[in-house]
Amino acid sequence: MKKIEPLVDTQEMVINMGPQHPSTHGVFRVILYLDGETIMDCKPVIGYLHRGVEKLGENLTYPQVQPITDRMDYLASPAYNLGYVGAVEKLMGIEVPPRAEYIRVMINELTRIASHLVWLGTHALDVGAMTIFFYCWREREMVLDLFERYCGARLTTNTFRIGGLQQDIPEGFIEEVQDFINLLPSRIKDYETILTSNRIWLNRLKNVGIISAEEAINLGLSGPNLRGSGVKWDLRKAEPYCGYEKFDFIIPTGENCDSYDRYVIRLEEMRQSIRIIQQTIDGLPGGDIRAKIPKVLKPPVGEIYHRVEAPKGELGFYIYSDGSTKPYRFRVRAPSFVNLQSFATMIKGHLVADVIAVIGTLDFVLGEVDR
Amino acid sequence: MTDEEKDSQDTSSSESEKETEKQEKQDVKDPAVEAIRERFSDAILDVTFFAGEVTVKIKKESLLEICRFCHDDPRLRFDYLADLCGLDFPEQEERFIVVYQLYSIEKNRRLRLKTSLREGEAVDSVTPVWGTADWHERETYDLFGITFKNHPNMERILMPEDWEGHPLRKDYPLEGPNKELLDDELKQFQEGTLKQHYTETAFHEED
Repeated sequence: MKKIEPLVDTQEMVINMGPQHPSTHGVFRVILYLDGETIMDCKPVIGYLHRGVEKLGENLTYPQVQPITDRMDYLASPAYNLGYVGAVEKLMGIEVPPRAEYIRVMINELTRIASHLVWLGTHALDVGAMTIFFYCWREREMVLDLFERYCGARLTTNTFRIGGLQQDIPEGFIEEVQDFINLLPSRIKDYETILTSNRIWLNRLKNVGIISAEEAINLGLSGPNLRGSGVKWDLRKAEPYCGYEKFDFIIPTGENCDSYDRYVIRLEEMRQSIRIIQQTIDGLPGGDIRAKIPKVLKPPVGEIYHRVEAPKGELGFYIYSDGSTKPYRFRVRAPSFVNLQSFATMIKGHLVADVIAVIGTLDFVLGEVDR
Repeated sequence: MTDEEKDSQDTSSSESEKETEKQEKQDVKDPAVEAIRERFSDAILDVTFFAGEVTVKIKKESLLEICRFCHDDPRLRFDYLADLCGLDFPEQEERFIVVYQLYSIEKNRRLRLKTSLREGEAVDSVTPVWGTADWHERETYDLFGITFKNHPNMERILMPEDWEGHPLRKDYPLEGPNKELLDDELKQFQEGTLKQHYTETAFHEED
């Protein structure tokens, strides 16, 4: 049989996506090298939101650094506050009173719910489900209202203080949180009714963005992205901080290492957060909300790396103190920065349309990628 | 007990006064440090304990070898590189320090490695051991100007490609390199004499 020669030549096509693309949730640019519609290679370009947070931190005193930690992951500010105050407390050896710890955990888990709701809403919107976006925003608004009630701010909260809290919870706050967590499970059920067995949702997410456990660990993935690959690792259990060892919850893990598993995990994490919040309400101890700390903070000479489980993954603060009132080196290990690195591995061999699904599943915030 | 071990115990007791004696004893017996010391006794320069964290300072020549050992050895299994960053001490001869935060998911154990180098020197890239080091090393290069040997793609990541200088160095001003220019413009702006620049864009330069 005679071999048919192809009549057309094919060549690699280079497409520039972003920095102003709605699905990138910020200013993220990715250069795609395509063969037809298949991605052969890609090059992520970041740095558009670089504000030099680490340099700024070196020029501010320890309490002054805290507000700038809000501006990194602006969807989960209290988680960043918790990481930072925890780092300074570890550096100075400060013990936080149990009441402050419980309130911190409560606010932090509300943050996790809010962050996951934003992720679910925007991810679903990107792959074509409109309704869920409004549903998620409705519930997130309730969490933001709770933040506003507690500390006056909705997004850049600057909630906690080194050594404890700025103020105790206001009157009636517990009841409002209780109402919210009573309501949320039924709302999560609504999301599941829309998405979990939706054919379009399954087609867009199943077997997309696969990354094996070894590769995920090698690339430093953390948080729900790593747990999606079946690694049962959560810093709240592995290295309990802020009294997390007192609470009962489970770590959900995935099996298929794909985007759909990560979706299931994040929904389950919201349910576990509700469980933790219920435990903080039931067991909220009385007493002080602030440890006795000096007016001027002068930590001893030394270095520490403190890390917490932020909604996006491992958030680490490395502080090198030279004994003065300002950190000599203030380093932030942002979970999104590291998670984004695996984007190229996840997307190779997939179609252009999957780029958006993978960006969604990684759940990164450009504010903390670029810092 | 060798002299080196005694030294390390001395530094630990002097530096972490707040820690209880019991914790110090546990720290000194850190199995990871012992395993590295067993294999690379010459390469360890210093071991410090602070706030329950172990820092091992090593020679930069044997960095890659030690990292590979930490990753592969069944007793250690440091499979997760949590963070990599730089430190700058302009007054010291070996002004840069590269800090590696190692973690073992299996053993739930941490270790910090440090190595120092002079300006203009390069340190081995650890990307063959941990893939995650790629962007961290690029960031360290970008903000400190520390180069990594055998890195697959050693270019700037956060700052623009044509940026001059490395912002996280201690001798780099907070206001940026052109402080005089900024001050000048601010003065003109306050006086009301600042002229707006008109930028001409050459669209058809090549035609």
